Amino acid sequence: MTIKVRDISYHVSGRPLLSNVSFDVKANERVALMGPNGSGKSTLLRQICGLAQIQAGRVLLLDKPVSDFKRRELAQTLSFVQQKAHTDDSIQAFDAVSLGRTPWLNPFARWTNQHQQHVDDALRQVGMWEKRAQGWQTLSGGEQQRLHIARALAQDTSIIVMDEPTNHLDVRHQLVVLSLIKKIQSTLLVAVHDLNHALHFDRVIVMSHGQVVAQGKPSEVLVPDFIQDVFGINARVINDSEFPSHIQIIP
Amino acid sequence: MPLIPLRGALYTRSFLLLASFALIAFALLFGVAIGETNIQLSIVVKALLNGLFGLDWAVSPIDQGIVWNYRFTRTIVAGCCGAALAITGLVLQSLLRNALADPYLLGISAGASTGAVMVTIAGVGAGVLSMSFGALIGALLAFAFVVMLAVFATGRFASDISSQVILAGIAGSQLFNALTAFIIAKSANAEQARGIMFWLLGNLSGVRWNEVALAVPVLVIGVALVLWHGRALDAFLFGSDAAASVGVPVRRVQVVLIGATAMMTAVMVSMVGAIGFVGLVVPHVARFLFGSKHLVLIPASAIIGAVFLIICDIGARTILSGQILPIGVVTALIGAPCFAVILVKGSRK
Repeated sequence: MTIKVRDISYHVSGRPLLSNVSFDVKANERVALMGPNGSGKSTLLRQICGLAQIQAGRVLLLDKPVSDFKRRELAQTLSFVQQKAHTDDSIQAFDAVSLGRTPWLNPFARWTNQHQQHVDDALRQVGMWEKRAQGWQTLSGGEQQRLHIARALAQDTSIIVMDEPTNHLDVRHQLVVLSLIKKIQSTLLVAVHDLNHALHFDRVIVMSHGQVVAQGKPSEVLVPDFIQDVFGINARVINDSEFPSHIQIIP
Repeated sequence: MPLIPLRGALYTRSFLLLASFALIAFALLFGVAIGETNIQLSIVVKALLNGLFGLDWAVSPIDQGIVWNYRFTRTIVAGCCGAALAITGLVLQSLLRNALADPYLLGISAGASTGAVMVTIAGVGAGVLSMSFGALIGALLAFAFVVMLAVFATGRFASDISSQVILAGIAGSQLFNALTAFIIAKSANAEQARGIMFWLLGNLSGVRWNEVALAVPVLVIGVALVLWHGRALDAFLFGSDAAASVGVPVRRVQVVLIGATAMMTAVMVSMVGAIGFVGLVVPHVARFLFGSKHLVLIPASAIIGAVFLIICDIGARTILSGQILPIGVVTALIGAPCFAVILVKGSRK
């Protein structure tokens, strides 16, 4: 198992945020993590990435507890794309991506061609090669998000975790980012908001009130009754032979 | 985008390295050559060579003394202070993601002033302790207070202390400034109050070889520690979570860097007072010129800061004849207009 989550519980000032969350993610599997706001997705992801202390339970990455990793070693194993990360500094697109090489560089190590190659490949993969020299502030939100994903790719890890990477993006850019995610050859755990986006993944894990309530193939899990139960909305699934199936929300 | 891109060929970098050494050498030479007493440049050079290499050129003992023991030491300390303050400002701005962070953010100047008035006015130490020593102790105590407050305010599980550090720094500064004001109001006469005010604005008179022997090693150690963490500082570009996810041990880096910069600032402040403006503005100038890579920004800020403060010290000694201005006044008078130009130019790009 690449990611193993076992009995994770988390309390904030006495209030339970996560209770007994357990699941696995297999190597090279693409898993969507879903759930309404406040269901504990972000908190869980932060614990998997070693950004928040684990209060109870265990997270294993490649069969090793996340707390046993040195920070740098962890960054060579897992990369994390935050919901939105911004800077006011005037940097170029390239600079943001090259940060991904940090865990592979010693304090005074030279920036070799190999590092450059990783960065260039990542920029091409997200379709930002032409804009590599452009200033960060001049890029659109979608382009910035693609660069964050490129940073994670340049980090060259076997696991990539993303927290709602399509948030704040317009529809077109959401689809660009989504098709990008489909091409990534790593173990992927992605928090997803949109029901239809989840259909693109191998498996979906749904959380509600800090617990895992369902997991399985998206088309089998995301059925109208279940959507009504967890998200409190009416929906129907449209299966058309010409187009991929689609979840329509009924007002 | 940086004004001077450094991604060019090797010779560009070698040229810049040579140019910066030349710049420092010229600044030192001018700092020594210009002063109230008019000494010919040839004599200044002879006196310097006498001192540096133990030569025996014919220079009158008075000129030799002025050049070697008075102006040269003063210029070296000015350069060290400028470099240390600029680097401190740079590190705190990058680490805390706050463009307004400066070396005194952590309560160091406030603590130093309290320490200084404790010794000079309240008479703590019964005349055995020097004002500098009092200032150093005050600065370190204030810093310890600020850091403890920040750590307690952040809680056990947080990995990032930056926003709490800024707030704790404000609280600590207010407290120690109030203590200083209280002591002055209670027992200082007008003359003493004026003396303290001058010291707080920065004063390089009275600097001799003892101060050089302290300032140089502290700067060298500080720069080495900061350079070692240069790549880590780059990673803070998108905040501390982003830094952590590319493998930077955030809390440890924050502790080491804040500690190193606090040490540099406390030592410099205890020798020459709280010289303002350098630590706030020079890092912005360096970023404007050289971009955002810290392995370049750190030496660049150090050199710009050193040269800037040496020039300001020349100004402080010569603008008013027969009187030495507090150097903090000069740094702001020269620095503010320069900064304004950069702000305007930067926004037009």
